[in-house]
Amino acid sequence: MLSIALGIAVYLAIQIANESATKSFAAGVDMVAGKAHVEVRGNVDEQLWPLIERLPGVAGVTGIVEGLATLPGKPGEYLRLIGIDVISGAEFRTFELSGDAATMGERWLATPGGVAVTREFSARNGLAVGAEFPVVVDGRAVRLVVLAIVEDGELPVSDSRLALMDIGWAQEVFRRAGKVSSLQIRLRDPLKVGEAVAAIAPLAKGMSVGPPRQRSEQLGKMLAAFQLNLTALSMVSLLVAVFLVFNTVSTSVARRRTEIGIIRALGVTRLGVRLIYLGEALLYAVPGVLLGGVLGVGLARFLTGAVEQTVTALYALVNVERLWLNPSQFALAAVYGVAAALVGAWGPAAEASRVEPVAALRGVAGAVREELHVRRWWLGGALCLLAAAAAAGGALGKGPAWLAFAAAFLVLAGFSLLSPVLIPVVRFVARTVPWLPLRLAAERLRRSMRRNAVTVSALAAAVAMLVALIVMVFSFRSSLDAWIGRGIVADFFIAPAANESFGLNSFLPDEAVAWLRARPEAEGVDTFFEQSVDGDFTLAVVDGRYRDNLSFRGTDGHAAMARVFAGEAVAVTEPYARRYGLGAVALETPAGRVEFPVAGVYADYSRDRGMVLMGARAYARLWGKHGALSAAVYLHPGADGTALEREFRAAFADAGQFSVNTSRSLREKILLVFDQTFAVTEVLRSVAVIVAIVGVFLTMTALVVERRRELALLRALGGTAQFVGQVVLCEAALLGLSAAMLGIASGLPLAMVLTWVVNPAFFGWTIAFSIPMATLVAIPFWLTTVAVLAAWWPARVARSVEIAEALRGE
Amino acid sequence: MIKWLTILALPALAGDWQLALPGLAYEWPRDHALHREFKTEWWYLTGNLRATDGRRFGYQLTFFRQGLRPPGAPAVASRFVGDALKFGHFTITDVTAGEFHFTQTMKRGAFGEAGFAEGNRVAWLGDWALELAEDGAFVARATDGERALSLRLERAKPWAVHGEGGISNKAVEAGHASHYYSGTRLRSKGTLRIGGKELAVEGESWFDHEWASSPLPSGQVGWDWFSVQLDDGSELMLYQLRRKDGTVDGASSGSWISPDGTVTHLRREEIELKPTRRWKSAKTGGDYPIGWQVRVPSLRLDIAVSTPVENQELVLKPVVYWEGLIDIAGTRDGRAVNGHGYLELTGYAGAIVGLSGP
Repeated sequence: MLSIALGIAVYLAIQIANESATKSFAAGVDMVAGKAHVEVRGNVDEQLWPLIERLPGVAGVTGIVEGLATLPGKPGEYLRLIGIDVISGAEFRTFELSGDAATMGERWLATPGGVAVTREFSARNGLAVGAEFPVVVDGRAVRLVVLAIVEDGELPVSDSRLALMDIGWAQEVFRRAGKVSSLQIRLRDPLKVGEAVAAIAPLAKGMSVGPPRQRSEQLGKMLAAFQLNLTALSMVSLLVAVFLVFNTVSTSVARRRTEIGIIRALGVTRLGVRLIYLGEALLYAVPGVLLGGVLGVGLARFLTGAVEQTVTALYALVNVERLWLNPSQFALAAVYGVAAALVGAWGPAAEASRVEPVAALRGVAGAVREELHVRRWWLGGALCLLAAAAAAGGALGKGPAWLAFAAAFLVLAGFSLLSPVLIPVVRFVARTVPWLPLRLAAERLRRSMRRNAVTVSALAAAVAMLVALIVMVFSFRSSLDAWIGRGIVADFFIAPAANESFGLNSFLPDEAVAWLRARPEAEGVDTFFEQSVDGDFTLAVVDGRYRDNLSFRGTDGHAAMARVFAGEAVAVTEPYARRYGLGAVALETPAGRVEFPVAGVYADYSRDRGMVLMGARAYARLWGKHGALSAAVYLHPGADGTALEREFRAAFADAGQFSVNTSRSLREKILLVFDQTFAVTEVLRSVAVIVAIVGVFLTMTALVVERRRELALLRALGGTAQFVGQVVLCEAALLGLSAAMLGIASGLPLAMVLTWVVNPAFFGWTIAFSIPMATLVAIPFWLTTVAVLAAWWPARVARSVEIAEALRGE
Repeated sequence: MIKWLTILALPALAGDWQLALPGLAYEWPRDHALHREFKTEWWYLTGNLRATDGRRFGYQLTFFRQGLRPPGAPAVASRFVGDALKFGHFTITDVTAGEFHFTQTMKRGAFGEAGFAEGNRVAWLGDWALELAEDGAFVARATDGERALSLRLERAKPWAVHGEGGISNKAVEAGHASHYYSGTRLRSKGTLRIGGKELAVEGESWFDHEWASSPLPSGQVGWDWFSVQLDDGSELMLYQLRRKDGTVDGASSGSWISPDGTVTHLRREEIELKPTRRWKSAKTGGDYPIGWQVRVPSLRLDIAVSTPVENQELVLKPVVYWEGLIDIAGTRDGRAVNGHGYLELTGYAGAIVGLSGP
């Protein structure tokens, strides 16, 4: 029951966390876009508004100005300001503002920096209606004033950091007069979206035009790869549940051999016995599923934070304040739970049905066939590995990306099937080790390999997953670290503090960049800016010069970057190259469609959707001037960086909060984000430990019960109780050890699949394979220890076997 | 008419608006145009029209300006930060069909789609407009999508300035006043599109133009306002401001305009107003006094006010009020008089925004 609950819980938790992140984002889009049929997004010229309004078929247009403001002195606190037009926007909104917001009329329009904040935000920061508070926008200090409180449930999203303000004052706050973040368009005929988009697109060159829903769908697609990873992990927890059910029911069958004999003797058919055991598994499954549901929601709360951070770090700002519990997820989890129980119980139930009444009633264990179809296992394993190789080849070639996961799964399955490979090893131990309890244990283990193979496989599968993840994460981290070491070479980096926590949304004041450039200590100041292209890949713009800090593949970096800065070409990242190939990059600009040849491909781990690097001059020519999201400062040798930083802070103290990082602190921050991203692996580590404990405990209990007579014989032959206990503990230790060895043996190829197949297939990242030796070497030790501890109780049972009773059947 | 002072003139955020003070010398056409230095201003047309096919209609067309930022407020870069909120109300009373149609439009005017005082345009809101023709006549048009009205309005009598000393008081307390003049009888001619048909219409309209900066005192809950055009060539304008405690504010008053255009100011004590009939709105629960007996003993005037259509309630956000066509029958100076006009009743359905202060 517990095993099912565990499997279901992990599966559900990961699904819920994923869905919550996607839904939160989609709800945000819906709230802002409301009932719009089409939206124009980007750095939209507000003059488009009346132009679009006059197009035939357009029923209404409203504009939105969005941006972020952070609260100085309150780390982590921010407001997502949405500037709306209450006048033209009324027909677009899916929400009504009641109370203050509806009646304050002119104050809303007349108050500079007037905002409506949520009740929760107001309470959290002690800001009542009328309260003025400082915020930081693009590194500038701005004062906002609370005009109204939005009560819970008035907005269709539960994001307490959402704040509404008038579009005009939003433009003032963000200094974005003349531009809006988006135009929302309602059509007379909602079915004519295609025609409307075709009519609007020529007016909105260089901007994205489409239904607002598209944005959440795009995020959904972006997250798909990331979520598939997590889903695959959650499936492993179900796989483990199958193994554990197998063990539980096997134990039950072993214990009740006599009972089965009796009911068989009373006329219950083989089918009947089989159904009894399948039914019993179902009885475990139902409360297991229920408990799993509850545990899953709890675990989801924990995981959501990790998913939220990852999504924000990699894709888009998401703030998940509530879990989206989808009934169909629970239904699916329940189906999986029941299926896992039935699959797991199938084998033992079949075994129970084969119990011969006479033999069972006599108490003779001979009815159990102990020989193992070693050849079949070998064959199966070999086939799995072959299929895995084929799938991996497909995934790396033209095949669909999910083949990569199929390959990973097949590797796991293949190695599990190869577990009998241990038999000769165990036999070797049994023959050579001088210590009698260990020899006996090895021998017993070898003889009951059929059942033990399953336990070992389950344990090994868990260990393999763990090993694979540890190795993959370690390799990834090492590659990332090497990339940071090469790429992040400036003496320090300056950015609005908000960019660190909430994605790249805030700009450095132009004065700050000019100030830095004018300093005599500064050898150079490179600025960085990026924008999303069709919500798809990232266009990065660098103003500065090449510092030999990019790892180009097969091209000379200096030559390539010279062309990039000259505006002749662009450089692309590996993920971009993997997704779009090396053809010229076509970009929609205000001046029309422009194509850039690709000067080179370089390694990059910052954007899994791909990035196109462009020189500032080319960008300015096509789009006009842009602000800087961050600046990298290079000092002359011997210059005092600390002093410069101090002076910078003094000069721009009023202008808001900046984060100033040295390359070392930036590296630490990047690695921190990385570690948060892979925090999910901790869950798997726990699963491995629990599987180890439960698996060993159940197996040893089953073995002890099954071998009561044998143990009694040992005692009868003069073995002490202590000796018997030692034998059992040795068996457990051997189990743990074999599982650990097998797990590591199969985990390494699995890690190779993850590193060389899954990552390139999904993300296009190239990762250098490296093995964390110390961590791996430790696994057999702790796993063996855990196994011995789990066998403590079965060992006690074994010691107290009553010789006379156990041998009565002879 | 005072009406919108309450709704619009919320306590001013910036105290830089000019107050309506005694001594203004009115001058036309200058004073038809906007008075930017005042916080609140409106141009108000109501009228009684008859189509060539004999059908009778009433209409109301109002342009409101609610100042947001007084002259001299810090400059801003955003075109969306406006100096004023611009909105309008348009109603058509179809007497023959017994129907009442109302609509509200509101524009920011960020792209010039709404504004005041530009060329010959006095005020405009999308395709609604009030314009001044070369010959001094008004040209007005409005539409609610299904119905459209277009009128040319010629002044039959001089402009009538209400109140005393060029200001109309709205409360006994000092400082609550407006500048207020009317065109009490405008010959109106034009077309009305209704029910898919284009009708030629003709009749009489009343024009109000009022501007002010100070709000009504918080003790007031609403008002009753009358404009009456009698068939003896005279007109009457009356208003009373109702207080929370049920009494009537002493600043309530009126004007009588003789056939030759002479304006006589009527003080509160000279006017007797008595409701005679009520109508309860099923939509809002508002209980409106739609029938009145009006007596002005000093003028030997005694008239009954009734309405041809009971439901002339404008259910809008954020205001709800009743404003509609009325018929007049009674005596003046011993002789029988008839007439028509408009009645406005506010504060009967829910609280009036801006009056529900602390």
